[in-house]
Amino acid sequence: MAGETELDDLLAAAGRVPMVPSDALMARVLADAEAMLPPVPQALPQRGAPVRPGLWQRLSAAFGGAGALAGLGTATVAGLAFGLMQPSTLSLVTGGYMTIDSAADTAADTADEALFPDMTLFLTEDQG
Amino acid sequence: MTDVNDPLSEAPDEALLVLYARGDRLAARALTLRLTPRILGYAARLLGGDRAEAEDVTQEAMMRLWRIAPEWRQGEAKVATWLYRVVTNLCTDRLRARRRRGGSETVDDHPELADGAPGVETRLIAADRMAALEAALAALPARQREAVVLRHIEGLGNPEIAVILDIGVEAVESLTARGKRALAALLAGQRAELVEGEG
Repeated sequence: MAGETELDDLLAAAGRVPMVPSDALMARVLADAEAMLPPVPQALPQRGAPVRPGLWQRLSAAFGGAGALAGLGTATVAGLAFGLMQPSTLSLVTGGYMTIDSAADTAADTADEALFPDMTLFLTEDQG
Repeated sequence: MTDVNDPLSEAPDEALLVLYARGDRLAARALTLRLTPRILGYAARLLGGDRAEAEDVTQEAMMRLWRIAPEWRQGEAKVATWLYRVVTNLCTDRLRARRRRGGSETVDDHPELADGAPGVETRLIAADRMAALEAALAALPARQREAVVLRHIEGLGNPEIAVILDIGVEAVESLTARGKRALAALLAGQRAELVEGEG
């Protein structure tokens, strides 16, 4: 019996010797490949109606862009906040800067009243 | 016919097949140059050295590859593995047809010969050690021949061979071991030629 190593060597040697196809076989295989070659895919054209812009896109365009719309929104919120804010809360800011001299101004004894005078002052009838 | 300047010569088989499916002629050429010699050699060994029949099998296998290219699903199988399997099945069909026609016999018809029974050596018509090997391979049972050729000549791993032959890895190991034992027994009378050149 042939030795295992010798057999392994022989098998490995067989693997290193490629079988060279004839030119005729290669031509037949290539001809088959050519005959069955799938067509080159073409880029598909756009189909369907164009997409309509959304509400925000249209609003943004109407006001001159997203930046303008953002500024408008900020101004709206700020105005609403000032309108709703109670005058008393302003004293937290103004109290440190404005001191009221009660002797000089008896009508306004608080900073708030100095900034936001009561309407009754303007409605008072002159008796003199 | 290998073109070393061809940039596609380094691309994986699967990538070339995808390119072919998209209508790339160069990919078809690269695949043909790469795969045709491999499966031709494999087919010739399975068919006992019948070159003309091996060429027919090779052309048929490659045609099936072109046909399946548009539906090829990447990652499921290697192209070479798939081709080896197709070639194996085509050769099995042809060997069966040959037997039905009363063609040349192999050890498939006489399993006892694979055990190295006396007289086997005299059947081997070998002018040199490679021819002796080819003759011994041709005398092996078909499944052993397939396993030995795929493992020791084509250099594939057992898991890949298991996929090609549609059997388990353990069965591949068993077939390969039995095939090599039978091959060694068949070549026993050719030992002098096997070691020629060593002296």
